[in-house]
Amino acid sequence: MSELNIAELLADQLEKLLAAEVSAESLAALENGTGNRALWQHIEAMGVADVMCTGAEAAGLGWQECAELFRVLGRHAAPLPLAETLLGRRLLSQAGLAIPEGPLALVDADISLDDAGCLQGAADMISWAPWATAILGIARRGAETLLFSVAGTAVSAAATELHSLERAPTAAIDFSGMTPQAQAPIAAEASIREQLAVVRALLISGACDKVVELAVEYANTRKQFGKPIGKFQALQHQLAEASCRAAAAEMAAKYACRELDQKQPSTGAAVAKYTASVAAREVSRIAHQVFGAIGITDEHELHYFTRRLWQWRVDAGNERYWSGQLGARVLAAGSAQLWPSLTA
Amino acid sequence: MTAAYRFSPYAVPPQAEALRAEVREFVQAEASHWSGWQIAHSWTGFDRQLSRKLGERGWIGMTWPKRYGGHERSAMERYVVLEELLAAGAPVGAHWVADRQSGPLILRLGSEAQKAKYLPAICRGEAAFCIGLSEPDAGSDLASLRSKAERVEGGWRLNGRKIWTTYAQDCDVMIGLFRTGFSEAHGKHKGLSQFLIDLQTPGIEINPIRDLTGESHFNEIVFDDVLLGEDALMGVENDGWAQANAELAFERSGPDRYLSSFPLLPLALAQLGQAVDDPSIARDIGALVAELTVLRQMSLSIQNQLESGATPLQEAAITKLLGTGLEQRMPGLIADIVEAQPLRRRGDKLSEALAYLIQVEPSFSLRGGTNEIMKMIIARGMGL
Amino acid sequence: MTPMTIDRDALSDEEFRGQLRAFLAEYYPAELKQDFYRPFRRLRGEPANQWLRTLQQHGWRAPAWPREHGGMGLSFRKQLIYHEELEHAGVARIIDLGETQLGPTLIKLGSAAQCEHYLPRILNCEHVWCQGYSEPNAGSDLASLRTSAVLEGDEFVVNGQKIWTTHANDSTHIFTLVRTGKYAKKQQGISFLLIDLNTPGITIRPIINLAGEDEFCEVFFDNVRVPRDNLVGELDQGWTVAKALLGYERVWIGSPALAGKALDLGQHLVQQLGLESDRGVMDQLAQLQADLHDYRLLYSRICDAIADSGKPPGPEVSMLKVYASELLHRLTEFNVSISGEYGAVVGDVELAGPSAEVTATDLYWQLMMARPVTIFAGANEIQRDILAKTVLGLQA
Repeated sequence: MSELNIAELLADQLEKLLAAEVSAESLAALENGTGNRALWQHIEAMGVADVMCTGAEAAGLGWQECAELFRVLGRHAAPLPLAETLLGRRLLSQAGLAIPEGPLALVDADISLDDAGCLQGAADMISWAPWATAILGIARRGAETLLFSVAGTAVSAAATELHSLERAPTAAIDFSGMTPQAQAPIAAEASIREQLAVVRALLISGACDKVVELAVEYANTRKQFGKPIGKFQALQHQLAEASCRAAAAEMAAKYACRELDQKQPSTGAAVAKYTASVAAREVSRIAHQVFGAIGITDEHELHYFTRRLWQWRVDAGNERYWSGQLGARVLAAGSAQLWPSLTA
Repeated sequence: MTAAYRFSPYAVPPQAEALRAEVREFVQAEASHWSGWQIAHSWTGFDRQLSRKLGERGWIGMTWPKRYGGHERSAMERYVVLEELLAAGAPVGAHWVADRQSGPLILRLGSEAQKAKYLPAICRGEAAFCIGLSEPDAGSDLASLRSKAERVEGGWRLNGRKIWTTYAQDCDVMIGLFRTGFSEAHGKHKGLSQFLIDLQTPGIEINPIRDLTGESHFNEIVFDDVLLGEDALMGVENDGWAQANAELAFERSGPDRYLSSFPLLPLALAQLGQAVDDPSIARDIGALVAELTVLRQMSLSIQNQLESGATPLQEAAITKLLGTGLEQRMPGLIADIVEAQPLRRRGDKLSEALAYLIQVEPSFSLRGGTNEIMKMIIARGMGL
Repeated sequence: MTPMTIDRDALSDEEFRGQLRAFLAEYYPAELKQDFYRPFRRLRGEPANQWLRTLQQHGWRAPAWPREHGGMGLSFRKQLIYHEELEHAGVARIIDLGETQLGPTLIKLGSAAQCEHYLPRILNCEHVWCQGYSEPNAGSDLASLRTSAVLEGDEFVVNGQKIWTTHANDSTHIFTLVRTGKYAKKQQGISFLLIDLNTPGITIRPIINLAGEDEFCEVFFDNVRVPRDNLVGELDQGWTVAKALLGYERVWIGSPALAGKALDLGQHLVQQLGLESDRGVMDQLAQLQADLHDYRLLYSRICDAIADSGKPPGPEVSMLKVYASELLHRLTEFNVSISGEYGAVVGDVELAGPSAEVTATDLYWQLMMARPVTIFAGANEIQRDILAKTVLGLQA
């Protein structure tokens, strides 16, 4: 119970900090590369980036406890690599590796470690890699699963900067031939891709709430034909639909958190990311229809959220990917297992 | 502004889980003689014999006080029983309405005599209830209903017509909503009262309405100077609208709001086999299972809130809208991916179930409040 | 005014198609073609004007205008062929509102002097027109517009603001709806006024859209003096003038061309990503293909009916706008959804597949470009209202 209070307190603090510091202007500065990292220093000082670390002296907060933290980040268009760093530090602590200062970036691609101790493989898109002091991934060596880390400074030659929809610092990196800075066997609750999928689902759920909120506010103030457009049933119905999608995304993401905390192989990540990606697609579609022309302008804040929804929809697997994964598991398990696994 | 709804994960407690195996075993034994056509009826399948068996096992009126024939078990234990029955497509229609709505209403608002008369019979699976709400000119807009009950010497006289009442021809008792006050004086939603009506009472004429599947679940019921005693009034006179509405969160969020088409899915998986290498089939199945998982979590979360005394109407409307959407999509989607013709071919359960569900799924978003009404409730809750 | 001497309408459909195809092959610059990188490529500014002048020099400009006004005088059937061939050749889209909107309005409702003055200048691109209808508080509810024009002697004095004016910053002139009178019915008292954007008192401010482009502008009018002769039609009757055009606008926006481009890209993506064996993807693709096919037929049927009747488009053209815009949504959404993470990259992407080559760009940009189509020129909600009331006869 006391742990839950720590988590609630932190989410509350983070909410206040981001509400005060993040605006369309600061997001624009971040996106065009002129933003400064003062906010990150502030976050570091708060200690919030360490709370998911496990081990003797660590806070060791679980997924359910931290769900709101991630959702708060989503609500504020995640102007920092905090989500990645929270998860990254947890992975490092689980593998018993030292935790470097500064933000982390995560690789969810298939990478292997050859007999010469070199990494083989590439990742198409790594959010925040240009900012990261270290980049973490999982590498396979035979039957072994290893967490590896490479220093941010070491990858610049192999990195291609990408322009993503999110417009956060992003790169594609070919790790082939690199020697990890550190590596250790890891028994994580799930793959990085699965965990990152749950993180993205939580961010989507937070951002969906925000977008629905903005749309309702706009529908209640914008007048056409002598009344607020929110009085028109055609719009009410679309917004109700958006609210349902946002609610489903929240439920699915929180469900996945519980499954991760129980540390059993689970379909939580697939359920969460499928549901959240569908929500990202539908909520942004509806919001843009409600906002009309003003919503597609650069000066309106809506796009800071909808562009991230579009980005997060495809990050760590989109709805097609995860429904395919889940369906393949269900089919392979067979008919008799369907209901028992749904109620497990 | 914070969201107008609250959903948090809730796990079925171990004590309730303990019951699951027992129910599953019972259901499996019974299921062998249910046809595909039958299981596709879900909670609209009417089988008095099954209801009596369930009554014997103590699976009707599970949460009600023992002195009225109930079993004083937890709501979650009841939830486990319901979802196991529904997942298998058990024909639970003969006690469904009584167990879900009418019994709880009597328990909450009924007189001692009403409780003693009806509740034990419901628990035994021997009293089938139906609900008399809709009228020819009062569908989604229920408050505009016109059938009336007038006070007479020693009781009430009912006149009017009810329509779309499910299984009235097979039921014993109706809880009907009638106008008892003038709408001008009381407002459109006031002046309505609920009555417990024995369907054998003289003056009641039940005319089955044949539906598009060829069956007659629906009825039109004509009340022609039907005389009822004083004790037929349920709860408070003129307060029937609020009484009927208070039950809606229960009615809209149960497993019956997303499992109606579920029995198709295991049948389809069995037909497809375990070695399917078509990624598009995997995606369709995966999407259905993901949605089922989320809806079950939403339904459980609401159940938990109801337990703690909240009235999660907003959450219930969201769950019903999403749940009936899934129920409606499932038959068409499954018909697309399996090699089964929707036919009433004896023995082919998947074909039979598809044949029934493809015809009735349009009604899923009508019963218990249409999609449009749900969206209106949600929009209002959002502050529009 | 120079009437068009060549009568291409007299050619057989096949001859016409052949001549146009040969002309496009010879004259349209290869580097400006739409392709898998830029399926929705648009031209604006000088490159657009250059191409329009090339069309003009060879007698291929203004297919819908009568020949006596310098157009091609094509039947609707031939206009369809004309647009099909442009699409087929990958000619980039040009938003030329002078040709597609103002010209037909002047020909129908303008004075002889207005036709004489403006039409040739539209054809040679001396005048580039934009449309000033929407205002901050008059979007879907256009009739609540407030920009005022007060008659002082021989001039109107215009004050107010227009918004969402596409490409105003590339234009020389704007045709506007302004309020000239107050009546109980707000559709009355609106006038259709032509304004030179060089007139003192006009300020144009571009609006950057979410893709970072200056597609729209705000246009401010501060005591702008406009000659009375620039009024089109009767004073206070501008709503009728504009309405005569809205139908044409919906036909124009309803063109299946863009959807055709998106489908071509979709088919290409399916091949590149090796998804031909994925039944679900192929089902979706086939469905989209069939829908586009149906839609092309519907489009040409309605266009034929307009041509045959010789009357302006009726309310049923709202159907075209709704269908075309939503089909485009579905197609761009399909392209993004099958492309996985490639969908979130801004810029050229190399798709891993049987043949690894750069094949597409900015899939999400395309989706974004498709998005406002359901909003502008009368939001689809408004179009559905029109269909429900006017075409289906449902009561409000």
